[in-house]
Amino acid sequence: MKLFILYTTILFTILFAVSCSEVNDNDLVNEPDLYKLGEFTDNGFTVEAWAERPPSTGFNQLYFEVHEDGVRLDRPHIYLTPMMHMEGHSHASPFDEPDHHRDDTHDLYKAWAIFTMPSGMMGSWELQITVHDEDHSGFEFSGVIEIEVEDSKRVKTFISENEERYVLTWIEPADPETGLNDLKIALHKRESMMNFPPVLNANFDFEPWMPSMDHGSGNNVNPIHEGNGFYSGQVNFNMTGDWELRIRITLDEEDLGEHIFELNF
Amino acid sequence: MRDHFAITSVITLLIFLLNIPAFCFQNESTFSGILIDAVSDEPVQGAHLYFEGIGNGTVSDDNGEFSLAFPADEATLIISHVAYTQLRTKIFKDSTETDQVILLQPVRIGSNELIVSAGRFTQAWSGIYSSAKTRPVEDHMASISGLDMVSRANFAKDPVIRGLRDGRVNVMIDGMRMTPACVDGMDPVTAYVEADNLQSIQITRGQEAHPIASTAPGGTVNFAMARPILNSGFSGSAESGYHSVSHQHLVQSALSYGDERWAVRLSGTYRHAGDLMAGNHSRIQGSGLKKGNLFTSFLFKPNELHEFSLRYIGDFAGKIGYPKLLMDTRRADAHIAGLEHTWNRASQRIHSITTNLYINRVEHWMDDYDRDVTVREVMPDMFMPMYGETQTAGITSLLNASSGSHLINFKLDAWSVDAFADMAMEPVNPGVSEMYLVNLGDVSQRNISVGGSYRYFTNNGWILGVNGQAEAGSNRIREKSAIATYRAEYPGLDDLEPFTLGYLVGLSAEKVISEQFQAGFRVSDGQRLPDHMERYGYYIYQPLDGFFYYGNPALNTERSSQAELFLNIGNDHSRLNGSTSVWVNRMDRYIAGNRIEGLFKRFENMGSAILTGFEADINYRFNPKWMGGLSASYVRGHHYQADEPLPMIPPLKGSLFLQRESELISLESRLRWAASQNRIAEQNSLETSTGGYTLLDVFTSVQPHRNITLRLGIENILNRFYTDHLSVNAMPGAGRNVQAGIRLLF
Repeated sequence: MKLFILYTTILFTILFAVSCSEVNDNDLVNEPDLYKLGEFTDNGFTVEAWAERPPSTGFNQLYFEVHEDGVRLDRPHIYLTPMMHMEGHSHASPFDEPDHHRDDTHDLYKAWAIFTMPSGMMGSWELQITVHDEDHSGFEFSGVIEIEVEDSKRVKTFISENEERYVLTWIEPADPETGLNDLKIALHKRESMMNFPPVLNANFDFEPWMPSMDHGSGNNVNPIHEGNGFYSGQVNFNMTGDWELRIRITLDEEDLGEHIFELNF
Repeated sequence: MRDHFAITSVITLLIFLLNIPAFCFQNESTFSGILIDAVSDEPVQGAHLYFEGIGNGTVSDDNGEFSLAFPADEATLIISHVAYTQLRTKIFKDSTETDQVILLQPVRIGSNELIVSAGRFTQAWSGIYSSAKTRPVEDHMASISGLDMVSRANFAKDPVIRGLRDGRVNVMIDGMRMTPACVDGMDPVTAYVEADNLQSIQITRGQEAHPIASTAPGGTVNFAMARPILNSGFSGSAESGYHSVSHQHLVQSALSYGDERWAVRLSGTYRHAGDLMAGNHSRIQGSGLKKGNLFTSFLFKPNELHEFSLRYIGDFAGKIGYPKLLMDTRRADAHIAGLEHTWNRASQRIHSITTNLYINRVEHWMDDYDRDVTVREVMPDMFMPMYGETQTAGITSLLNASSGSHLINFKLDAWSVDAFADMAMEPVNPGVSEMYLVNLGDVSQRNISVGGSYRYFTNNGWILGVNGQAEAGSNRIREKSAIATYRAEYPGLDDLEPFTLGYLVGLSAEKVISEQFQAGFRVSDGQRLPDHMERYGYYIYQPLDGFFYYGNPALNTERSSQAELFLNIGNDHSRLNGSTSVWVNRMDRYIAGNRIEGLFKRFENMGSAILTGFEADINYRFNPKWMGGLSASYVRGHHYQADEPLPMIPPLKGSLFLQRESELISLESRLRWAASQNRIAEQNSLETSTGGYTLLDVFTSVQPHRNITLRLGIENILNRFYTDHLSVNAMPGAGRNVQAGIRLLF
């Protein structure tokens, strides 16, 4: 009897130790403090998509998690395509593939997408996602997550005099405050319905303006390119209320026109 | 480096002053005594005593006592005080070393008069109105030479001294600082005091003034509060007045009681006015007002050495129309309180130490809800309710000392201002969002200054004076969005909360030329610390030039170097008296608005400006009843950097009066005149030229019984339409105004 008790104890100890070494707490899926866009499951693998806020037109920071039966996969390769299906055709939008490493803040795979139009009668958005392991030797699965995109008026698509199509996105300040705010905008060129490369050498001349007060503000800093089609500057809002961000763009000495974002805070 | 030199100089000066008594005072025969009010039997403090032609002088302490060196066998002692008839009496050698009681006759019939003094002299005109408690304060101040008033409405004018105003003029209540709450200047200090609150209005012109100097280059206006009187028993008054030009009704009542150790006075004033009628029967729509004022003062004197005085003014205004500005005052509340302790005869040579602890709080609401905002040019199609509040607290301590012919004053002044103001912009179109900004984002100033003055009366008729002051100020801004705003406006500025030093040094010399003439000069050099509006005011609309002003935390001090020559003739009670001053004021690092873009200006130190001018008053008493006089003043200002005249400089102006005073019927006629002003700042303001004008006034006062006074007067008899050059947006002056009043004493 003593031998049985000893045997059982050793067995459970070994089993417990083994189980701990295979699935620890870090491998379990946690619920992040983010807005959940949706998920799909294929052959036991699940992809969950998250965003910092409900998706809207313009720039959206996205996050992904991949797990198999509740156990997170490490370093999966995730391929993302935001796709708008309209009557008779579909198109993508500017986006960035998810990182191969988890981000420090949410411990998820981070990506971004710029939705160029809202969901509605014109069409609907979905995130097309494909996942495989690091060396294509193991799993591979695909699926879509349908999302509703609200209109934020933070993105402009326009055609230049040279018949080129561009996507201008106002990213920051996301929550404007009185005083000096970081300004971040992005410019992408639409080469095809699926291809939106960043514009790397545009020049911006912008002015914040209050139409109802008929004045602007001083000490603004024009955005300059910081990489991958993103431009950073500073904007000064000297009071709350209705403002316009008046942005004039030149590219290789071509005037791409003045574009106005309206905001109210 | 300059600041360092200035501080070192001031400290050296103070050390010198502190040591003067040790090596200067000598054992001489002395003449000592006590000055007593002949009516109330109260001691008279603050009277100036000196020997004619010898110069030795002193000031009576709070017990009316004095002690004066007497080096001659025989001399004429002159005792002067603005509230009493000047006394001249022969003193002989054998009368020294003995305490003498000297009675002084109050200069006025009653004891409730408001005394307005500028420099050496009491305002001579409208003496018959000095006891009218229902008369607006600014009317009592109206004809002081060198003092002008900025008019924004039919209410609360802002004093301008020698062409300077706002932060360049100290406007105080009983030595207490007070900070208006309206960022658009609609509530100057005069908005919160009534004549009933005051015993006197003391005006000094220029920064070098005895007993204590001020770094405010324009000068000082001090509204000295009325005090209850010990041993007076029960007394009271009631007064009612009417001004036809605005259908203004005024009522005032006071009740007081004085015992041997304590006295109290409680009073109230209410006035209510409709639209002002300018000359030629032109109505200024929306210029009415209503306000009430409560004043109480408590005096406690536990023994002969100590005295406590507690004062409170509560002023509550309803709607006050400012038809020439963008908005009207909707409501304004002020609470002003001070506790003063006087320590008499603190030592043999220190006559008194007066310490005043005070606090006041002002709240001001204004809006344009009663206006048609769709038709105006500035910020059309939106309402702009604004709120402002300030809290000012401080402590002052003034030490008076003398020995023989040496007079010394020291003053410690520490004060703080906390201010907040904001505005909303509510578009008429509901599709446009409301806007909001903070004009003063929880800003504060903490200042401390130490100063002193010394006067020496020489044996050959010279009065030599020196004074100095050192001031330090720190600034803070605390409201989050205001900090963000200023960070945005001044991205290269590391310190939004600068610490600043200022100073003032002054020298004066007066010579008693003869019994009738006294001449002298004053020179001074000082640096004024920028005020909280100049540092942190944001988006402040200035109707004078139509620009919105931004404060500037990086402002440097403003330097003022002044010189003045003056000549005095006679005194308040001589047949012929008068004074004239010629002065020049050079200002460096002159703080003014510099256009930055569009409709915006920023306060900056903008080079140099120079102001120069003169004041002249001459009065002649034909006989004990009849008296006449004339006055004139002129200011010329030029801003070198802008290369044009300084804005809002008063034109050549003056007055001429003739009055008859008697116990039964008093009469006065007055001619007020101003020349046209064509020297205007065309480039940097919206200032326009104004024409000259001449106005004729008559007043009469009848006293059928010693407790009843009836008054009737007509101002601007010819009903001339005129605009004072300092009125904002050409606010016209009052047309013909028939004013009547009755005052009862019991």
